[in-house]
Amino acid sequence: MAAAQAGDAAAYERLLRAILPFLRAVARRRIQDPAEAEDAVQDALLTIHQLRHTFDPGRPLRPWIGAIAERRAVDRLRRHGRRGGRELPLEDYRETLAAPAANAGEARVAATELRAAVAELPPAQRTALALAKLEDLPLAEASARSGMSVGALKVATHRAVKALRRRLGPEGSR
Amino acid sequence: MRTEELVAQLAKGLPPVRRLPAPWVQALGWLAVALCVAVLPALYVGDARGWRLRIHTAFELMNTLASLATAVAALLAAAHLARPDRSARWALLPLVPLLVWLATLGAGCAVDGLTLETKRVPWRFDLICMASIMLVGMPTAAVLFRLLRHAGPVRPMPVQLCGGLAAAMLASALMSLVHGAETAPVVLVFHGLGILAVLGFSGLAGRLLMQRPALT
Repeated sequence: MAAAQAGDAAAYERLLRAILPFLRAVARRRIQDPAEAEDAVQDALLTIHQLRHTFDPGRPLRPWIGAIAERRAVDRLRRHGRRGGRELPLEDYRETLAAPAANAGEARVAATELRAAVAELPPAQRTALALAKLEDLPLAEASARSGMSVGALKVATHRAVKALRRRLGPEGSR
Repeated sequence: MRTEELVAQLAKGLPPVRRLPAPWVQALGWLAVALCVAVLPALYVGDARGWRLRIHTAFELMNTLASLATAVAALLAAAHLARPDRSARWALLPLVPLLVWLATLGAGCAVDGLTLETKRVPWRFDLICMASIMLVGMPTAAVLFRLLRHAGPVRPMPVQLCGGLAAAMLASALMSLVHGAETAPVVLVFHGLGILAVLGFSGLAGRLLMQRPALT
């Protein structure tokens, strides 16, 4: 940290990477949601950066970092609590029937149906669809990754989309 | 943004920083500034009341000394609490001198009440005393919060409290020296109002004068 205070960027980057597991441990001890805990880790990194001039190299580093990480985790929890108090999940209000399966199932059924339809495609079409549509890669890159020519990729993608449309399209067109 | 990317971004083009001086050095610096700020109001009040030593009883002396000790203890506590790695127990440091100050106020009042020797000073001086405490306490508190602005992202509230107490008690002690540490209830009310006003100001303005935490 003393080197970082003097402007040694490489030493600073090494230090920040070395303390990441400790920051994550502090955040996860307080916050259960992994994404929220990772946000607290990033907040702690920003605060460490902001306050690096307050560190006294004659004293141990761990309590200094620990106090900052704890504070940011607690702040996250408080903010989350406040937000949680003001906001209500919409999902609960979209339901119209008491039975949970009666309302929430529609999207899940559609997703399952789509996954099943994609699984039934021939392997070449499935690969082409995954690379060109789902991962949205440029055709040249998709071609390099799949080993198919650009032309073959275009044809396979087109056929895959057509097959899916046939299977999942409006009732009348099935 | 991924955490690893943030680390790389923070390290990129890292400028050197100047390390903060030790807390006691900061405390000494602030005391020097505070005394400079206090000079004019102290001169005014001292002149208005006629220059002479206004500490007559042992209670008054103890009261003024306790007030000074509270100011110094609260100042040291604030300077230490502003560092992330210092113990939160620093906040307890001003407690003993503060209790002594309150006790000497109460005892002084009781003695005055029993001996009926309290001489009322004119109302004008009470108001001047209160205004002087505010006039010295508020700007010096503001200077202290700027000096300890690094407390903002980690421990703002205890620093606001201790910092406000330091500024208020120093102003109160200085005013006691020139105005007199009279323990008559009315004087104490005005004195107390001045101190409360400085503490209130610290609560409101402290956060604005300190750094805000940088958040994602």
